[in-house]
Amino acid sequence: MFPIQSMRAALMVAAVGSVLAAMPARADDYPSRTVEAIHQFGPGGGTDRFIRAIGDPFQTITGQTLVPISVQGGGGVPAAVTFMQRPSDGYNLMAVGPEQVINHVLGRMNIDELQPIARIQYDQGLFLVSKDSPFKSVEDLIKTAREKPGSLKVAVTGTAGFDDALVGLWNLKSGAELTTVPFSASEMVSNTLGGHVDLMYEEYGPARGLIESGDLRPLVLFSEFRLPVLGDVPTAAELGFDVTLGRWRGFAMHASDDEANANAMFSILDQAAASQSYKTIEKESGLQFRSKILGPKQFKEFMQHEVEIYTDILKQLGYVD
Amino acid sequence: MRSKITEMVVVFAILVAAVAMWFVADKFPNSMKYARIDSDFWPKLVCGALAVVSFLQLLQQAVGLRASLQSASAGTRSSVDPAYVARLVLIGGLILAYFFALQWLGFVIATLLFLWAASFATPYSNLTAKLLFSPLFTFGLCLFFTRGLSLPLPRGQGIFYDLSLLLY
Amino acid sequence: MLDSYLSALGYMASNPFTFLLIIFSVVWGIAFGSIPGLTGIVGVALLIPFTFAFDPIEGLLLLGGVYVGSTFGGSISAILFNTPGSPEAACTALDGYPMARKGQAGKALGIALAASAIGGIFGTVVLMVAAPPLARLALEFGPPEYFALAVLGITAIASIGNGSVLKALMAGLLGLGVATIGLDPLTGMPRFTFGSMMLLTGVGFVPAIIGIFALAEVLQRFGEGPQKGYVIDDVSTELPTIGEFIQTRITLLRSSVIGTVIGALPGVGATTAAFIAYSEASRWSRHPEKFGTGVPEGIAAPESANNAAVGGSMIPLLALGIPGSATTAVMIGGLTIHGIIPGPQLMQTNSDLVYSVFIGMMLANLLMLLVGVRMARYFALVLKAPYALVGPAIVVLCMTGVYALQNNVVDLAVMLVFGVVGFAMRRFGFPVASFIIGLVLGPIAELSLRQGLMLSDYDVTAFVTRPIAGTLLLFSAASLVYGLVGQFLRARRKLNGDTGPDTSEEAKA
Repeated sequence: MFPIQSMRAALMVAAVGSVLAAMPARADDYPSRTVEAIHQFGPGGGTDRFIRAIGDPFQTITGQTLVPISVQGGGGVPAAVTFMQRPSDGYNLMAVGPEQVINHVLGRMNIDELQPIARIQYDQGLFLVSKDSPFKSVEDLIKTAREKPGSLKVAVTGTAGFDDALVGLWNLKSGAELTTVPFSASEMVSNTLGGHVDLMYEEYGPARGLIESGDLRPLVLFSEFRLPVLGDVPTAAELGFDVTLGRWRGFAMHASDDEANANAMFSILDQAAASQSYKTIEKESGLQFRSKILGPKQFKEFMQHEVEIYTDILKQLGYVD
Repeated sequence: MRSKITEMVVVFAILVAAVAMWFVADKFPNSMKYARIDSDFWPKLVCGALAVVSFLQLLQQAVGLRASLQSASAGTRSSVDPAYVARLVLIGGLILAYFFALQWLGFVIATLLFLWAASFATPYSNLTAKLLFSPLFTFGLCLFFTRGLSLPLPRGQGIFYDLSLLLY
Repeated sequence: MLDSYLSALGYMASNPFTFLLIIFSVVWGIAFGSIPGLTGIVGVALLIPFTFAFDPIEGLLLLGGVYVGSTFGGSISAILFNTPGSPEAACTALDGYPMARKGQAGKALGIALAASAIGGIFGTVVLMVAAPPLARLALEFGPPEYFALAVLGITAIASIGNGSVLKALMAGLLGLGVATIGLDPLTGMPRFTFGSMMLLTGVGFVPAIIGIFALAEVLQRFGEGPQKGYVIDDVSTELPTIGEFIQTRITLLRSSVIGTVIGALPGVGATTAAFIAYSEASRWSRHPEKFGTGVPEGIAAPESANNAAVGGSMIPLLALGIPGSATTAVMIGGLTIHGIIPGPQLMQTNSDLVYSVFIGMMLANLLMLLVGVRMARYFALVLKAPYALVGPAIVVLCMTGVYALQNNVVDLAVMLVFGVVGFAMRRFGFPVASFIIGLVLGPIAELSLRQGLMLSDYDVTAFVTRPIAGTLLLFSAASLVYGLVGQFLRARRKLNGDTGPDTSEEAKA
C-alpha cells in the first residue's frame, strides 16, 4: 500500500515537473503552442471558416496554429459545456456570437464565465422575397402583415435562435407580424425561391449570388446604414423601426484566464484581422460593412448591451419570464 | 422455448417504454407559438404507434407460444454456451473500461492499455506482435489525428490532461 | 456548350497539375471515407485551407474529387469489417458484409465499385445536361413533398427483412423514436434528454450506425471466439461479370435516378438517397426476403444511389448556388473564399470553372474504378491479420473517429449503447435496416410535416392535393397495404402448414 502510494506521488511530481518545464507560464512567449477555439457549428460552416480564416494570419504572426474545434448542435449548449470543462490556461478560446447571449438569457449557460477578447465580425441581414413575390417593396409587406397578422411565413435558420429573435423584434417594433418557420440554410432558400414560404431572412454574404441574379429581391436591411452595394434597399431604422441586430463573431476566454494573456491574444487577433489575407476573405463574404474590431473592454460592454436587448425580446416573445 | 420467452420479455419492455415515453412527452413544456404542432406532437404519434405495434407483436407471440406448447416437440434447445457469455462479458467490459479510461487517462494511455488488454484476452500465440502492435498503432493513430488532421483527441483529466498536452 | 467544354479541357490540358490533384483527391477521399467517423464532410473541410493556395478551379476539383472518393470509400470498410466508414455507406453494410462472409468479399467490393462508378457517372451526366431544369424541379419540393418522400422510405420498412412485419415496424418506430431525442428542431425545447446538457445534440447518426454495425460485430466475433469458421479470405476485387451486371441493370438505373433526384434536393443527401434506393430495390424485387443476406442488388442499389447523389447535389449548387448536401455546403464556403459567388450566374460568369468541374467529376469517377480496385486490395490485406489485433484496433478507430467528429463524449456513449442495441436486435430478430431507415428519415418526416402544417395553416389536405406529394403518398399507402396483405396471406399459409409462426429462423439473420 505504502510503496505504491509513494510511487504514484513520485510519478506525479515527475509528471508535473516535466509539464512545467515544457510550458513556461511567462506571458512574453505566449502563445507557445497550439491554441484551440471551440465553436458550436459544423466543420466547414461559417464560424469554422471564420476561425480558419483568422488562423492563417494568426500562424504567420505567432508561429503557432489556431485550430477550430467543432462541438456541434444542441443550440450551442454542448459546446459551452465542453469549453467550461477545459482549463483556463490561455490556450482555450471559445468562438462567441449571439447564440451565447441567447443561451445566457434562456438560462442555459452563464456568459459571465466568459472573458470577451475580441469581436471581429459584425454581419447584417435582410428580408428577401422571391422575384415572383407580390411584395415589391417593404411597404407592401408591412401592409399585408398588418392586415392579417401572422399569416405571412418567414423562413429562418436555427431554432429559437438569432433569426427568431430578430423577427420577434421586428414584430414588436413594426406591428407587421410574421410567423417564423425554421429550415436548414439551403432549404430556406429553395423554399423561398419555390414560393412555399412568403419571405426569408438571410445575411447579405450568402444571399449575394441570388440577389445579383435577380432571383431574390431584398426588401429591408437590418443595420444602422444602407449598404453601398444595395443603395436602394431601405433600413428598418429609416422606416422607424429600431431593428439593427446583426450576427457577430468574436472570441472569448475563461473569466478566470490571466488578463495579460487576454490582452496579448487581443493584440494578435487585432493584427490578424487587419492582415491582407483576412481582409480579402472578409470582403468575399460580404462582411466588410459593419465589422469593426472591438477590444476586451468594448466587447464586454457590447455583450452586456446585447444581453439587455435579447432579455427584452425573449421576454416579450414568452421564452423567458 | 426459453428464447421465445426472453423475446416476449423484450417486446414487453419496449411496450412499457413506449407508454412511459408517451407520458414523458406529455410533460414537455408547451410553446404558445407552435401550440398545434408542439414538441410532443410527433413523439406522441411515434410512441403511440410503437405501443400498438408491440402490443400486437406480444399477442402474436403469445399465440405462437401456446401453439408450440401444444405441440410437445417444442424443446428447441437454446442452451447458451457459458464460454460465449464469458467472452462477451469480457470484451464488453473492456470496451466499457476503455470508454471511461479515455476520459480520465486521455487517448494515449487508455489506448495503449486497451489494445494490450484486448489482444491478451483473446487466444493468439504471437507474443511479439501483441506487445508491439499496441504502441505502434496508438502512436501512429495519435500522430495521424493530431498532426496530420489537426483533429482533437481526448486528453483526460487533471494530471493526465497536462501529460497529453506534451504530445498534442 | 461544346465551346465551353473545349475551353475547359484546354485549361486542364495546359495545366497538368489538375490531373495530379484529381488523383490525389480521389485517393484521399477513398481513404478518408473508409475510416469510421471521418466522413466526407470532414475530409472536404480539412482541405479547404489548402485550396487557398490554388486557383478556384483547382480548388473545386480537389474538393469534388474528395467528395466522389469518400462516397465510395465508406463501402470498403462496410463490406470488409461491417464498419461503415461514412454514413452514406451504412446501407451498403446491410448486404455487403453478409456477402463477404459468404466468401465473396471480392465480388461484393467489385459490385460496390462498379455501381458507385455507374451511379457517379450517371449523376455527373445528368448534371452536365440538365442542371438548370432539374434545379427548378427541386424548387417544387416544399415541406409536403419532403414529408411524402420520407413516408415513401418509411413505408418500405415493412417490406424489408425476412421476418415478421410487426417486428420490422417495431424496429422502424424505435428508430423514429430515437431520432426525436435532443433539441426539438422547431421549438428548441429539449426532448427525452433527461437533464443531460450534452445529450441536447441528440443521437448522432454516425455514432449510432457505427455502434449498430461495427461494435455489435466486434462483440459478436469476440463472443464466438477463435473459430476458423467464417474468416473472409477472398480478398481479390473483381468487377462483376457482364452477366451479373445485366441482372442488376434495372436496380442500377432506378437507384441512379433516385440518387440524382434526391441529391438535387437541398437538405437531403447521399445517405437518404442510399436508403430510399435500397428500400425501393427491395420493394420491387421478386425476392425481397433475401435482402439482408447478401444479394447483389442490396449493394448495387445504395452504392449507385449515393454516388449519383454526389452529381445530384452539385445541381442546385452550380445552377442556383444552393448546396444540395452538407458536403456541398462546405464546398460553397471554399468557393466564396476564392471570390466566386455561387448563384444562378455562375454558369455564365465562370463557365470554365463549371465545365472543368463537370469534366473533373467524370474523370474522378473513372479514376475511382482504377484506384478503388487497388485500394480495396490493400484494405483487404488487413483481413489476413489476426482478429485479436484487428478487432481491438477497429474499436479504437471507431472511438477515435466518432470523438473527433463532434468532440462530444456523449457520442461515444451513444455508440456503446447502440453497439448493445445492434447486438440485441440481431439476436431477437429485429431487422437493423428498418431501425436505421427510421433513424435517417424520422427527422425529415417530423420537421417537414410540422413545417408543412404551419405553411398550410394546419390544413392536412394540403399534403394530398399537391401533385408530387399526393402521388408519393398514394403510392406509399398502396404499397403498405399490398405488403401487409401479402404478409397476412403468407402468415395464413404458414399457420395452415405444419410450423407455427416462426421466430427461430429470423433470429439467425
